[in-house]
Amino acid sequence: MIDIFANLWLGLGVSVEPMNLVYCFLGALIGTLIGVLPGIGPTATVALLLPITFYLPPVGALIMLAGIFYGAQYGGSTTAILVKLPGESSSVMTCLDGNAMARQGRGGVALATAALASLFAGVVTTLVIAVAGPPLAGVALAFGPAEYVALMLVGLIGAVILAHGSVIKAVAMILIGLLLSMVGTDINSGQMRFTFDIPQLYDGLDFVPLAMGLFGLADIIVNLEETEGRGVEPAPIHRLWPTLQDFRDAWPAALRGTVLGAFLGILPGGGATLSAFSSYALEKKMARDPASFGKGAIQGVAGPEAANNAGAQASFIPMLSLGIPSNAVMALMVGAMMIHGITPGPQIMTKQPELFWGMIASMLIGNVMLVVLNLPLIGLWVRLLRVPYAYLFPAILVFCCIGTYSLKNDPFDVLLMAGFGVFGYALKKLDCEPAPLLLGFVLGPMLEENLSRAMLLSQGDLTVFVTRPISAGLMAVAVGLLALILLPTFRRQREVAFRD
Amino acid sequence: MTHTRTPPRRRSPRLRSPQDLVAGLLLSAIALGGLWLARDWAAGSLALMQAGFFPRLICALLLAMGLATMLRGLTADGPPAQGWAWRPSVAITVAVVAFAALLDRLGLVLAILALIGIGGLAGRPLRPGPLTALWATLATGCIAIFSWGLGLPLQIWP
Repeated sequence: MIDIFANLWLGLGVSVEPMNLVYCFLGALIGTLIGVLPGIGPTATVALLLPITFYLPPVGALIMLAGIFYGAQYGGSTTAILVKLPGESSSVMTCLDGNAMARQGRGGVALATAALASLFAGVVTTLVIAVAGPPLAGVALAFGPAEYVALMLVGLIGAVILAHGSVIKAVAMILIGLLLSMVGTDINSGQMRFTFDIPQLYDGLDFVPLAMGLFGLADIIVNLEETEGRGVEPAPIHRLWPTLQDFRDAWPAALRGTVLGAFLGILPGGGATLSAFSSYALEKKMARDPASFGKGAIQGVAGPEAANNAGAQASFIPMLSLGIPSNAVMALMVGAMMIHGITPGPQIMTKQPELFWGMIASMLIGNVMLVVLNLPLIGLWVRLLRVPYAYLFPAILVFCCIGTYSLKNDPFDVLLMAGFGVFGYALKKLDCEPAPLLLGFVLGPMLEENLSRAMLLSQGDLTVFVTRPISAGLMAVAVGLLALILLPTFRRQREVAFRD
Repeated sequence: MTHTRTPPRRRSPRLRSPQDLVAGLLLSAIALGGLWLARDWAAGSLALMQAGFFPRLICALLLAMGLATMLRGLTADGPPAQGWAWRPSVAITVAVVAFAALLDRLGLVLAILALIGIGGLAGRPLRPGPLTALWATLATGCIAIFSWGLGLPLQIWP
């Protein structure tokens, strides 16, 4: 216990350095600013803002990225509540009752509830990360290649569960991500794979053009198609502070949401969406009046908001301690760390404690900053929501293009992004979700390397996955998840959950 | 990497789920393309994987998923293929390509004009006045952030 406080103290020391505070503040501010814009979810926001952080020192960059991530999450909730446009699946649940509240003129209360529930969940989960990270990293040191393969399988199957629509298509998206990750020179043999003799591809595809194309450009095209270029009209806001009765109704839901989120978020493949869905279902079951859900029940905002924040933050645990991203946003974070020359994994904690603990402590500060920033600025965000899309999307376009260009000062990356934009739009037309693709793309090289090493060590014996205890346990989880997907009753429930 | 994309077709009376069929065709085409590109790479064995092993494994799995989706498109009822929004998709793509082509030749300021000018056609185009204002704001903002702030070696003027 004392260790944890000593470590957190070390981290706080790092994160209150003036420049780091500034990065944290800027990250939260810009993250909210972009995240509020309709049609840009947290994943797209983080992808859009990544290039800004390339020029910072590693600790500052990670702190700023984490700030961007909370800001984007919170901005997404604002849009969900005020205009019923969830930027990402994790805020779908907030839409239901949040927007109903907004239409009753209680949008301000819904926003404040969301902010406070997120703050509470964020602080609690940060402590969970501080407690659970080190022991997990200890476990991770015992991991061999077989365990890593098993863990990644669990994560990938988890991503399938959370994708919309067809399971087969979600698996296919992961496979395409894996396929794209192979582009470039094979490290072991020097064999050029899928490079089409284009020199820029020899070092592999960068994930910035991929992510910006799939999430930034494709979303613009879809939004223009759906709204025919018109903007969206946000609901008006009258009062901001919840009443005492609201507090009484909301806090138990926020507490339950936090616990659910912190637990589900740790599972690879879990994270924000699953937590928010489960919390909403739980609150609906627990409520004295389940019929009020969907008509502006404050529990339906507090629970899922706490849960998605807790889940989103808890998904830092597998990322930081095992080096395995459990969702698309974490995949982006891993990509950003690699660009700074940091390999996420158990060794971070021992080799770069000020980085690890600085980032964790900055989560505390970031969450507080977010609320301080947002409650007074809600009026500004609402005005931002009123910016016509005709002005907004050209600005997003410019940002995508320059951001991608700035990666290597090479227009080729911009062309790649244009290609992935069209590809992403085609995928949406075919009802294929691109998030699992990004996860597959980031996990690809790790998966190939560990698979081939595991097989080399066992001399081609596949039973190694079930004879080593940790690997066997993870494989059992993977099979269990797979069985769950194929179970007819679960399938129906999953479809209902996504249709709601 | 393949950008093969099959444009969604009009609804045909015999097909039960054209969307799934098209998706299946696209996935299978990508998988077959991958297998074809990987045809000369040594695969090695399970104990000693070579560069061709993983690509083939993934493409084979992808092909299976593609065929399964196609099969479902033929046997189960599903949504029709959705229309392709040509105007936004073409305008956005052309605008981005134009930006990439012009940036190193004509500089950032004019490349941004091309980007928002062509890109604007994707939605409701702005009138010249607002367009100029947006252009000036975005160009100034980008120069301030990327050129002065981050010190990126950007060519600004032609």
